[in-house]
Amino acid sequence: MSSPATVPETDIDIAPGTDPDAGPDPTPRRLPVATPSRTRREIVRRLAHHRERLTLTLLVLLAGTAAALTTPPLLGAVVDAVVDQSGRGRITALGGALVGASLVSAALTYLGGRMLVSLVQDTLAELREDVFEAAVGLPADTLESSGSSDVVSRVTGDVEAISEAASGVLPDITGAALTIVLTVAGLAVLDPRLALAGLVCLPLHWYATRRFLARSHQVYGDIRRLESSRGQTVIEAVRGAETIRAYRTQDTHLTELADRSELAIDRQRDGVRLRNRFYGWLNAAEFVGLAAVLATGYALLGQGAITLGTATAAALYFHRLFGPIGLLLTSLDDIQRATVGLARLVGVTDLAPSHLGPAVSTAGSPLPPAITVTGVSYTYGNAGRAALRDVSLTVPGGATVALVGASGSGKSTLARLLAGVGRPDRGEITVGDGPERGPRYLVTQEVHLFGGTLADNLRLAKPDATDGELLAALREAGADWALEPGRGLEAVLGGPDGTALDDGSVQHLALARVLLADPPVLVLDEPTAESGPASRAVLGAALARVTRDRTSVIVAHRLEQARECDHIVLLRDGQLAEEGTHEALLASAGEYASLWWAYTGGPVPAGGRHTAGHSGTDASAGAQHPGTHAAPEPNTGVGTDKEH
Amino acid sequence: MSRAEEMEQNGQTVPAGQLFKIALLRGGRGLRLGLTTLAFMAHQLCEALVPIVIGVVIDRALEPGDSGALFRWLAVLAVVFLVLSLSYQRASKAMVGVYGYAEHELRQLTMTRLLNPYGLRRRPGPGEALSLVTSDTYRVAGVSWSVVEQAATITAILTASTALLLISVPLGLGVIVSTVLVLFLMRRIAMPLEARGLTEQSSAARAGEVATDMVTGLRVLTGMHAQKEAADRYRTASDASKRGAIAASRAVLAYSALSLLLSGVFLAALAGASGYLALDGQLTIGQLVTVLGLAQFLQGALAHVGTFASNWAHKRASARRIGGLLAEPALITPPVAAPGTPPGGAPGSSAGARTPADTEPHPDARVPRPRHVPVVWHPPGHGKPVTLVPDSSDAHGTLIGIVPRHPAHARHLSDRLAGRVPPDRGELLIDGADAVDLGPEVVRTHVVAPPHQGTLFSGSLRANLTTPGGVPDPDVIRAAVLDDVLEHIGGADTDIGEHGRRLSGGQRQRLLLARALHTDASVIVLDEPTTAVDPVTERRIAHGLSELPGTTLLITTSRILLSSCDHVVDLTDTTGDDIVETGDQGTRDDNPNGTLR
Repeated sequence: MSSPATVPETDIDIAPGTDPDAGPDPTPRRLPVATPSRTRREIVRRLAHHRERLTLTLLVLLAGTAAALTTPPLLGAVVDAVVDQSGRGRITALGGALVGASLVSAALTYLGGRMLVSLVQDTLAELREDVFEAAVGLPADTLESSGSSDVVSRVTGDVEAISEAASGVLPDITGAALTIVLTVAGLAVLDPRLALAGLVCLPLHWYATRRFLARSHQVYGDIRRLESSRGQTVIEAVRGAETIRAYRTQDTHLTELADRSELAIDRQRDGVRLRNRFYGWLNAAEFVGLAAVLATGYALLGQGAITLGTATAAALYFHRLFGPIGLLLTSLDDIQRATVGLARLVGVTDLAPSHLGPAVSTAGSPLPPAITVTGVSYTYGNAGRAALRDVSLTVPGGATVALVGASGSGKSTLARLLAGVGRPDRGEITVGDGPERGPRYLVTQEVHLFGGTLADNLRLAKPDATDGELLAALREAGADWALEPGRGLEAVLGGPDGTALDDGSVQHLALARVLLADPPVLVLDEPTAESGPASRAVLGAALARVTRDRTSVIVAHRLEQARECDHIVLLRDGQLAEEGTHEALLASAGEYASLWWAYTGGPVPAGGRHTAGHSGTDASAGAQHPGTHAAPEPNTGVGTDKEH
Repeated sequence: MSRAEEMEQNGQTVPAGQLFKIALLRGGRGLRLGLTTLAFMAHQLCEALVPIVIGVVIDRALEPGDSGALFRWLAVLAVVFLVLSLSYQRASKAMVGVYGYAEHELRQLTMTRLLNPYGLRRRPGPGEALSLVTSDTYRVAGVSWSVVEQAATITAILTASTALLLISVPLGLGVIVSTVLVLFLMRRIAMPLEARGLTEQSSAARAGEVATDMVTGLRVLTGMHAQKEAADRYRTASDASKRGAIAASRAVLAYSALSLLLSGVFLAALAGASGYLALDGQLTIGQLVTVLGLAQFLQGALAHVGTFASNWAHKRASARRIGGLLAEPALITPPVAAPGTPPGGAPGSSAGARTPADTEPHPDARVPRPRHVPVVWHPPGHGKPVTLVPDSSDAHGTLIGIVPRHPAHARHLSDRLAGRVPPDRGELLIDGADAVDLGPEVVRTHVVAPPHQGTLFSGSLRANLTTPGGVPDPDVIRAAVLDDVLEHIGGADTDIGEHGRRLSGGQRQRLLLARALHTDASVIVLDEPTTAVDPVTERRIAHGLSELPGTTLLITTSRILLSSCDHVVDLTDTTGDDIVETGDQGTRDDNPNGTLR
């Protein structure tokens, strides 16, 4: 933690060294990833919830595979029937049995497949829901420092990868594994010596698979990373299409995309080379096994130990194994990749055992509590400089306090801590009688319109609110525009099909949400940044309404908001620099006064060090256009008075 | 230029077949795909030979007890396996290029359309666009796999039925007829499956959309302690996705079970028929074994034939979606012919929908901003035209303030100047020429108007500051007050993170401002560039802007910015509410003095 002496005061202008609004530190830490053994335990635990279903599913699939595996012996029986000249009746019966076998096998495979798919999807849905809940419930500091992109990629990309592997590969490999087990059993029933002959190919399989998996991990990991960075380029270009059009930089983005595609294709070639070598070994193993079964059949037949039908059935059995073995071994790689994703998901659930409480409880105490900040310091992640240093202040119950200061002075950081989003490194913030995780509420600087209807957007603050309550909140906040014909609570907002809303309107809805949540303590971080002058008046009125009867803190760039507050606190470089009422601070001719005069375009007080360098230029520029300079008020809307 | 691109320009729909053709034939892929297909066919031929050789081994070695025959035919089997393995390896290696570049080309085609300078009348949302560029191009490119795999399977069936024809003509014919029957029947069943699969695909993506939405707004959610509600909503969406995924899988399962059943019945019929023939002495025991082995092999091949139709169904659906995008009419009609010399002498090409940078000098080179270009705006339904940039030029640069009535009004004007919204004829005059005749691309060579909420891209700060290879201009950096941002993050080569998330709101806005000022257009239009910065910084920016050369148009209500302007155009006294498009609550404000409270 830096002492004031080590902080380079490089510029007489406000020089924000550490920008607290920046939030994440320069090298974001990643969310944790679970170990392989932990991941396995977690999967077993989750599957154990469905033990009966899982057993039943496997039994059904097993029965289906067994039915299908009656085919080779039935074909062998056809051979024997011909050798024995058993007659047409026997052949017809065997044909009927073959139809019956495929009917039973198809029905059971379908049934088992259905059961397996719903089991897998149920388990997966539970897992992703837990991951999401854990992710949104993570402590704010953790989220801020790992970056939301990591969370997004886990709850979307990883979940989809696993879902694909689970629904695409799992039914296949279950079938393949069962086929292999039962085929070997079938061979053993025909003659154990034939089964042993077939197993000579196992060492080759084992060797090929070991070799493949040892290298495939790296190559496929690279391919996935390259593909995901290609996807990132696509997402950004799609989202930034208007910016790209404005600067006519289509070529830059298309070239970047092309470069990333080529990289991915190159690495895919490596992947294919690896897989080819693997398949080569598998083919060799198939030949060795088949030759062994045929040679053994030859020997046994010569001794009269088996019939020609048995030898035929054994060769057909073994030939039937090629497909399932190849499938099983090649899917090992898919499984390996899915477990990487699973480890990332389990890592999140382990980090934050979900303990989400309900939203702000509205049954608050009758009197809004005071907030006391004592010696609070805060540093983001591994950023060198503290965002807040030893800040102490008191917000009396029911009062409205403004936080002002230049960009990077620590306003937003203090606002977050005041709202209970994140904890100070040092010092203490108490609300009311003692420290508590009280129902404090933060309206952020960031504006986000959630998908869905107007009602969906509002009910986030109070899920059980009736339509009447929603309408009342909108009217009270002065957001009647939202209820005009063609709009209304059920109107879909945003997105390609919904009504577009400008940021000022979205922020207006955020204020209406405060009324629904009805918190005793309210922190607002620049609630009117994106509004125009006229709408600012409406938002100003809404602001006055939402801060009434609450202990409120407003971060304000628009200084007329600060002027209206009971008390103003000015931060500079993370420290409390000035505090007092608007009049008192103006009279003291300090930094607040400079900000105020910069803001209103009025006279710059002599010696106002923060703007001294520019006062002359501004005055001369202003002199050319006295019309735009003359308003005595901090007029933020040049022409609203002329509005029709 | 491909047929698809031509059709795209002519505003015709692009049929799925056209896209398949790109995937299969373009760029020398046709020949390579042909050779690859032959190799895969050789592979399948060998696969079909395996059961035949098994039959021969039993017939010639096991039954008569001939050890010499056993070794001879096992050697033949070894050769079959060798050819089988090598042909597969060659083919799959070649396929990476065929498939990978087909996907790449389709992706570039789709992306080019999405970034087309003339815009799209119906613009897909980010999620939809992403799935078009990634999953749909992936599926359409996968058509090459369909072709080779299906050709290989048909080869296997033909090999097997040839062998059967040699053994017994009725059996061979029976196999061919059954294959055609299965193909036809499964195709009929695949049709409804296709439609069903599409709806379920979209519902399965729902959970991902909700997750992205909620995590993007996570700071807002955390502020109002709505994590619980967000998790509940995600559960609902995840449940819907789960049901969609299960329903989609069930359809596929039913389809493959049916295919399995059909091939089983086929196997039984073939086994029965060959049994009868063998009983009648028309087949030897060895031939019977070969037929049964082939029957088992054909069962698998036939089950694959059963999936042909559904395989194409999904690819056709994806191709139709991409075709729909390529055929989507442009938002702004490209000008028919160049209207004489474009203003400012810029060699702007105004015809054709190709990426403009192909035909025009790349804007990388940082040349001095060209001369002042007068801009006149004549909003429809409004009495007299408004001169945004006057005729007189000032060598030292001009800073012009435009005061909009409200934010929507500001967006309205900047959208028209940028060509994000088509201007009406006569609405916008650039150096006396109508913007409609010039077309947005020529307009953009003179007037650069980035969106108010600009986008930052992953990468270094430098990459977001200038065009690639451009050199940052110290004057611009000073004017945008970006110097302390550079100092804070540790230089221009530092990564700024996805969406510039490692910067604060105010820092991002200053970077976007500096980016705009690094263009070489005659007129730079800035739409409320300082909403996230504090008054002192804003004042430094205002001063910095007034010192820069060139013409800068500031659409703003900020008093600080306006006070630095050489010239202010006040649009707040314009009449005609028809200009107002989006309902901004501010227009209904009756507070006469416009100040707070």
